[in-house]
Amino acid sequence: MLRAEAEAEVRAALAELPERTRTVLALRYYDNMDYQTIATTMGLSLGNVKTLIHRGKLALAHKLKEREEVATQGVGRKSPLFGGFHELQFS
Amino acid sequence: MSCSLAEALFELFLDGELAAVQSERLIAHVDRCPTCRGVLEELRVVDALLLGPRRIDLAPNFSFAVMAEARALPPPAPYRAPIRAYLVSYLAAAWMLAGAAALFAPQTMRAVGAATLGLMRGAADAVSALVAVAGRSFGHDGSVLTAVLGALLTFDVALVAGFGFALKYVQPRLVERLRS
Repeated sequence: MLRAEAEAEVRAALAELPERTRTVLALRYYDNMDYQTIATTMGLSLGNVKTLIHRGKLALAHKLKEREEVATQGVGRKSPLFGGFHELQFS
Repeated sequence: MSCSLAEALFELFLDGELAAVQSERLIAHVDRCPTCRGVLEELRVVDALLLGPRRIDLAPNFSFAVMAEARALPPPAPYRAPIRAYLVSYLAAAWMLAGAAALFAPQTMRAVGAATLGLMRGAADAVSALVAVAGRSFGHDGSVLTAVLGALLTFDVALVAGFGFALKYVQPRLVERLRS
């Protein structure tokens, strides 16, 4: 259940990112594309793709933290993301 | 190592593509720099969340809806070759051809019959008991035409018998095996 909640939070946070950043992250992590393939697919330079992914992940972390704060303030429970990260079992 | 250089190496480090020497330097910097340590930890968390197994959420009634749709479809109709029609067509055509040849081209029929009989006699021992039976049963009087018609009749009788056997005994077993 914790895993499902975390996935839902990540999807929601991803949806808040700019479209190009979201697309690059989706291609990298959901379609398992390498950087060069993403660059070719999107017509970007390799460096641009790396920068977009790095900044996109930091932006995603920021969004997740924001959502976590809202959740903890609103409900008074621990979020499954950063606050409850150590409870997750990642393979 | 500066913080900006460290941050530029984070992705390579997390992807496991950073050289060992650079990794050691990066780790040494991160150990000393709480800011970079926090950023690296955030990236690790995001990586773990993005790379984790994703669960596909199905509608609550998904299975029921799929099964209901499957049941509503018409039952599948397997292709059935019109074997009876083929058999009847073959028999009619073969006997009409043989009759026409016997009536209108007896000389040609005799030549074809002689060739056929020669082949049958030559291969009777090794190839086909059916042909051998036909040759012995109908070819003893020396009439080529009789031998050919006899062989055709024997073949047709065997064909019809084989078809009947297959229809009665083989087909039900095949259907049962396909259903199980």
